[in-house]
Amino acid sequence: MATPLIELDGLTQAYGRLVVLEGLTATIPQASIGLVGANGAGKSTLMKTLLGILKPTAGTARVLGLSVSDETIAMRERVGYMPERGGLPPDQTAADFMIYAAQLAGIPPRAARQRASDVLTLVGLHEERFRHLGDFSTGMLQRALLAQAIVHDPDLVLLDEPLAGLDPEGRDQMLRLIGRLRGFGIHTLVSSHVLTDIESTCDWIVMIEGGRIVQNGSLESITSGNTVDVEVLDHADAVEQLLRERGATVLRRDHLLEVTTTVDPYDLINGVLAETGAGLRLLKARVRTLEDAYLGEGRIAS
Amino acid sequence: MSRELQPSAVTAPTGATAIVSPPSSDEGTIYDLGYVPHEGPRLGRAGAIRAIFFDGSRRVLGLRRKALSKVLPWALIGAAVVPAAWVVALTFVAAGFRLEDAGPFGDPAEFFEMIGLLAMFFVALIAPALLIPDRQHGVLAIYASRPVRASDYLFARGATLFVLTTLFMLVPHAILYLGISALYVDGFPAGLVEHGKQIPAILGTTAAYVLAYGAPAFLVALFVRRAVIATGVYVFAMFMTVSLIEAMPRATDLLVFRLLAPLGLFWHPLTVRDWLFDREPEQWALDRVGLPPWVGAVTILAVAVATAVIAHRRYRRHF
Repeated sequence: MATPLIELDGLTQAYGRLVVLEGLTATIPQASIGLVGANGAGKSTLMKTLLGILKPTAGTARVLGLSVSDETIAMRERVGYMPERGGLPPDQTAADFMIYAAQLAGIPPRAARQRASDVLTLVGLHEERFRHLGDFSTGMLQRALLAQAIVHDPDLVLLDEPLAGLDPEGRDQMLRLIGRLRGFGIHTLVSSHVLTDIESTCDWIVMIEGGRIVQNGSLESITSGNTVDVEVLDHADAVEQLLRERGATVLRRDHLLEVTTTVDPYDLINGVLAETGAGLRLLKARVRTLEDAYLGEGRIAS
Repeated sequence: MSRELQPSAVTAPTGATAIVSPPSSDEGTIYDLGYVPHEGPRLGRAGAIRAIFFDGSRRVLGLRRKALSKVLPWALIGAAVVPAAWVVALTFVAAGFRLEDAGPFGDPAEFFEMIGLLAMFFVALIAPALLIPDRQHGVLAIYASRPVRASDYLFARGATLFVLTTLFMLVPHAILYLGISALYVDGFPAGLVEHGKQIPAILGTTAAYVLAYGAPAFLVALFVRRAVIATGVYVFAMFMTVSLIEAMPRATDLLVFRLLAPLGLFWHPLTVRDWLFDREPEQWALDRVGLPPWVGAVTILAVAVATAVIAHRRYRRHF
């Protein structure tokens, strides 16, 4: 079995009496991870803890199998980080800073020059490599930040609000870049407020609310639900009654029934229709977006 | 965790599709090599410290920066080196002109009074440039994501300050040393040996200058948010100590002055110089209150150590 990307065991982070993360326990497999939560939920604190910048108040955290407290240096050689704000010196050229960022991670000078050139090409900044970072637009700065995060060839890169401040075209470019990282063998942990962006780039979701994990699972398991819409031609009363008798929750509007059940809804409806002799006009799975799931969990948490 | 080489990507970074045509003898072929992982060695913290050291050197000297950032450091370097070179050149070309007649240029101990003042301005310029921009522009977040500890970062930045300021002071000394030796009556090699006896005192005094002036500049740069303001605060503080000590009566034994005298950091390198060159004390701060010269050396070291401790405590939370 592959080493989990991140393992949290009772991880607690407090600033004095203010508890920001409370007893987080989770195992997150090798995947493209979306970190979802409201402002102040603890996303940035979790990222800083995973980087070893903040020492856990209690509990442990392991990244790529390495303890963030005891093996910080070894862990950081294999992790990249794209901060939400700042991070780039305006008086340096993109090429010079990428070389420096690679050398900071221990890449020898000659290899650092090659990698800087490669990643700037990768993020579409090769033509701009000799321009000073202070002359870059917001979109170019975000791409330069992403480039520095992967210039030392990490196994995991933490992206803190990578789409903040970007226009639609810039968002699209950045999303495609993030999507490509997986193909390079680089796992991502993306924190974003925009759930549709998370949905399009991630396949594993960690939802944080009030310093606690409220969801930790694959995108598929979180967004799929056992709710279907059924429209019958006749015998709607009998169908509704039989469904309720078999434990389903039914919301009905005329001949249209919204059925939620804990068992396979298709088997259940098939049996009920056969018993009642009702004709079927429509049977459709209710698609739940990440936003639906998030708002649902948010209600539960609050 | 192993990583496999990925097959060649066919989508260019901007989203355009790369053209991969079948190879033939008279046609070129474009291959998108995709992402190439780094499979060579990693140099760890030592590599990072080396990188920070050279980055700091380039930054403070304005190398690979815009022209404006080169003006001040190179003007100061010019002010330190050019007069020494000029005086040595004059002794070779102007009949009857001797280095001994060229004021401080003919005596390494006296030359410190001139080069020391320039070194203070040099330090005032480079210490803030080493520390403040990284905080101001949020670059510390990048350091914190790399295999670097706060102590590594501060050590490398401190080393840049120490090495560059040392070179700033020693290069003019070296020019004068070679010049004086070349004019020695018994020949150049004999001159090197004869004047080489002063090298330990020159190195010791230089170290005293670099620590006495560098540590407070580093300390100010830890707290001030703008480089220009830090330079101003540092120069003001150093000259304030000069004024305080100048206002102090000579040959006083009042306790308050005995306590104040060690604060005159500006003067301590000169006290150390007189000590190392075995010169008559010139009534610098410590001499006036009857404190021995080693108090100056100890004060310089204490300030340097205190600066290192404060710096580490302040930067630990960023890493």
